[in-house]
Amino acid sequence: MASTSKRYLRRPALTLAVTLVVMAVTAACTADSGGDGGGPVELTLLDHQEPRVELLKKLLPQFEQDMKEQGKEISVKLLEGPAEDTQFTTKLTLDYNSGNAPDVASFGNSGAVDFATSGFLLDLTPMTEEWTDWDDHFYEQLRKELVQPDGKIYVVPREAQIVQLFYRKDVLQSDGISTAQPQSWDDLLDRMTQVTRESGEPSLLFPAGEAWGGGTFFEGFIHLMLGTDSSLYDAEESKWIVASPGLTDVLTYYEALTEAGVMPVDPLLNPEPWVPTKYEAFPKGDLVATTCGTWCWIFDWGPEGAAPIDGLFKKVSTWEFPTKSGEDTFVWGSSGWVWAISADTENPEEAWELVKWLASGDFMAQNAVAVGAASPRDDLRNVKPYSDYDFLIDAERQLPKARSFVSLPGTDKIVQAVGEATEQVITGRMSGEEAAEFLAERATELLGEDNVKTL
Amino acid sequence: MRRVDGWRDTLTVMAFLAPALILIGLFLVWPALWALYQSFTNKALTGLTAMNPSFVGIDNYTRLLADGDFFASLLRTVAFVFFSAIVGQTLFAFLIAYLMANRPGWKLRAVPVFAVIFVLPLAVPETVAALTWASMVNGTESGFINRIIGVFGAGPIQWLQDYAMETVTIVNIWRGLSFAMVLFIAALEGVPRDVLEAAMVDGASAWQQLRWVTIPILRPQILTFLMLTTITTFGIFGLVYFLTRGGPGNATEIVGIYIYNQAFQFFEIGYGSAAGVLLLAILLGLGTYYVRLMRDQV
Repeated sequence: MASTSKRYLRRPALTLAVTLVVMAVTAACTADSGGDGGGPVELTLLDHQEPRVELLKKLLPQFEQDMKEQGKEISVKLLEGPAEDTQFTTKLTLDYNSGNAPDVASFGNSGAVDFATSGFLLDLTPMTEEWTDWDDHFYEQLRKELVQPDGKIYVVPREAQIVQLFYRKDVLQSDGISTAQPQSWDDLLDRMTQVTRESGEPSLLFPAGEAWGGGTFFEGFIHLMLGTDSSLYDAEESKWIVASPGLTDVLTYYEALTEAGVMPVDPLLNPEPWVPTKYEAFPKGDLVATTCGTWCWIFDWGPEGAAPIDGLFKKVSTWEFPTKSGEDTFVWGSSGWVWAISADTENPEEAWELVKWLASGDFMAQNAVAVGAASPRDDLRNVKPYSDYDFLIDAERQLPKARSFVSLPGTDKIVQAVGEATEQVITGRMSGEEAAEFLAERATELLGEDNVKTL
Repeated sequence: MRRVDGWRDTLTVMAFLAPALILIGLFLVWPALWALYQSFTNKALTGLTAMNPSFVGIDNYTRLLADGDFFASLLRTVAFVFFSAIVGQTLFAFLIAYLMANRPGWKLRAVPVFAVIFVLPLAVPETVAALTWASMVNGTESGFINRIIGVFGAGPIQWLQDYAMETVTIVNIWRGLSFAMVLFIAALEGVPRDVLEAAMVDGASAWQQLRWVTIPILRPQILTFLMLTTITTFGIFGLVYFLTRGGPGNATEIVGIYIYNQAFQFFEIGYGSAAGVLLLAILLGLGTYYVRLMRDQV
């Protein structure tokens, strides 16, 4: 009996030893990705949303072929992230934190500053300095926007977005309401109030509340804020301005929109607020005006979009954003999504080759068309299929004079505070002025007293 | 039974326990300790503090205790646990199980059919269950439930807007009913028939049999289920998140969603950990309370 138990005692030890050896051998085999030895290299690329992923699936073999012709054996493993932006950002953030980040990833430029500040991204400054396309063809406004607070460049634009007010021309015309460019906020509110009075439905959407996530800030709030004389950030003192006349004006305007019944409050509290608004009410013509970007022409209301509108270009048109004072209407123009390389990549040179390829010619032209974006380069207007899309090229022409907001460290906190404050207003829990005070308190709490100031 | 005596016995016992202890230590104790540690730092997933988190003492706890949203989510969770787990799951499941279980003078027909219907929720993965319900309670005219009430002339109702908490409570009752029912049926079948027959002979009514014979005998099983369902419902996340994401507004932001939002939407791991540690403390307290109740019974 004793010898039997000893034999059994020995077996686990033997099994453990064999397991450890196998694990060590496996680890040794998988650790070598070929980066240092000049052999084949496999890069990982993380993206999300079907049109983007499908395009990559279609075109990445071309990259591998192009590299092969240059004598480089680089293959790309495409990883698909969650479709929803917030969940994708969460996944990518966790990947970066856990050291499992893909070599190359694509995300909204608003996330770049936080990823760069966190040390997750590879400094691309030396590479862009040697890449002649960078200075020669990328719009200066976008290049400047991508310089991070430390003076370095960590991301390369994948596309450019022009955001403006999209409106239902057909509905306004049939109601006998002017389709001329509204100059001031009051002008816009008057017109939308008329529409709501006619239809009994909310008519104007500036995303607000917490459910829309970052969209509340980047698709709604900021386009009103840029129409005031106030700024959100004091670059000289490197401080966020969390209380200003402009901030109060914006939140008071949300209050006015809500009180007039033009804001679709209930849908904005929906977990997916873009569905009942942009995908349902706007195509039906109940919602008459909404903020949206170039992507809406294709991604949202195009024939293959989430909620197609028949005769889109006959029924829908665009206005620039009106301002508080009624002077200098404007559009928002900025790099939408960007490409970035992980700071932990074992193959920085190959990853840069991939990013350069993705930010050049054929791919960028097809990407712009697939997602409905303007080109961030000035040399794609004759490259098919982009050259066939006049409305995208028209949007691109607006880039040099467009306004934008450059994301800075702490933007995520401001975005959070704006989401909470606007929700207080649209739900009627606070007036605009009270919400402005709430925003100042919340932003100070989140950013720290040393990083904020009030006017 | 032989007592553990000497270092050889101790070693043998430890060897047998070691695999389980290692796993518990690795996947339960260590993360809890790690969360406790993080809760005293300003660790974030992005920004400067992602690279250089520092010790902030009890700042996160001070902030948490002054955070109205945290307490609101905690209160919502208590209500959610009470109505969906304690009243809904336990009471309804016991009632259904009582009707389905054989006992002297009572045998329900077509029990297997009912069993399949009631056990179905157990077989459906959480995400599928949430998506199915999201479709059923769709606020448009095409929503399944709205179609049904439409037959009676009622207009469509925005279930996840106007009755969000009530809806997720019902969904959670549906979800947990089957497990409770299976447990209670097994327990009810184990109640000695001769005891119930003796009660009948003594003239006890059906209610008196249930109140004075069956329930006292099943007290340990009922308490065990109450402990399990209270703790799991307190920490529930997926089902509610997939249905409402905590909305509309904060209407269904139960504490699990609050913690997720702090840690993984706003990337404040230190603060989220502090909320997680407080929740853990509450659950430990509840668990201890239930264990004491059970021990008192024994």
